[in-house]
Amino acid sequence: MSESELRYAIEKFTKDLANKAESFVSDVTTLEVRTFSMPSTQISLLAGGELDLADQAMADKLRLRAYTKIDFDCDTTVCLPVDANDQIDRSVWDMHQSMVSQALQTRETMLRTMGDALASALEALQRIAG
Amino acid sequence: MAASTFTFSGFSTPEELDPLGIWDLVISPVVPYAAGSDDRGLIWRVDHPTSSREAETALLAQRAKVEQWEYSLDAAARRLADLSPVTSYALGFGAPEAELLAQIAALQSPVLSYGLGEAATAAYHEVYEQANALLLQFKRLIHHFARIETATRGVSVALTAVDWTGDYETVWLDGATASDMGLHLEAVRLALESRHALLRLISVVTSGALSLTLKASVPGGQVLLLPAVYNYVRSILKELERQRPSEPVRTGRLGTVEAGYAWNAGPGSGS
Repeated sequence: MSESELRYAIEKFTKDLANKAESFVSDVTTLEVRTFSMPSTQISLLAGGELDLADQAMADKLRLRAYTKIDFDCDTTVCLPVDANDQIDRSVWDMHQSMVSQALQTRETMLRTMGDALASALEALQRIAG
Repeated sequence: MAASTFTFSGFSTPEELDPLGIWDLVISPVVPYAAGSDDRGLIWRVDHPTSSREAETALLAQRAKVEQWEYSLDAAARRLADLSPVTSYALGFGAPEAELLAQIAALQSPVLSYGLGEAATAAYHEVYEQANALLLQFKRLIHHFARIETATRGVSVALTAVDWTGDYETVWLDGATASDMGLHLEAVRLALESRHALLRLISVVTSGALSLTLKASVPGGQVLLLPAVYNYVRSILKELERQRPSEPVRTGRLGTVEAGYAWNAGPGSGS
């Protein structure tokens, strides 16, 4: 095993991290939160990590109950169903709001984490180049 | 009464234990620690015996543990930053430092560095494989979605998928109660705080390995020192945990979901 192989391993790791950070930056312009519900007869879909929300057939079994999209400039779109009396379902609304609030916190933490990771990756790349 | 269980699958460590001491790692028998082709996501699952006050207390206790663990990680990072392979032996460092410095000395050895002899080459190869395995696991944390499942007595009530940029998708089982919602929200927080803590561990280990590489002039050091620095940080964390007096568990209502209603199945519900 040569030193060049080791150097390659470091480079690959740091470049991977840098690429991930780059894609993160291009993807953070919007934040989307979706809240679904599903009947208890479909409960087995929830267990064991088999539920793939990107799978259309699977998604058809779910009911989208609330949706929020927040753009980078803070423009916000919220979609909520109402009942026959034009009243918002409070249980859906409260839970969805909690998830939006949690998503904003997660986004903030990830921005900080990615900033730190990117700084470390760039430092390592500079050391290798030097 | 049975306690809540906390499991984490899709991630592993050399010792097959969660560094935070919270989650039981579910190790797949067909996917060993070092395998890189495993495309399972990261799944955190919390299963409560009942949707009750005890379940809330268990979640709050685990979150307090993550918070304390992060303080300990800061302390470990400071000790690592103060470590110097040049002046070390005269200063009477503790056992974790002595072990790390011995490994640095071994890697500095010309026999290992230049690959002379079969035994030396094998040792070098082993360290390299360990380092690569650690890097692969680290990468899994940033390449996969986080999925958090909450169950009561083995029955799933909610699932949240969080992608790397923070988009959330949550699925609720019709009939979920306010208590279920509060417990799931807290499980999401615990899982994401755990992921963040593991990412910080990675950051401390990789930057510590880089710093020691420069101080000790180990060829290919940042990679080769990863396992040694990882073990060092784990030893410090264990040491600090032993020294810490047990703390009272926080109590209080979870989340922001108000009690007093159950999840409305909504129009078109088949349940």
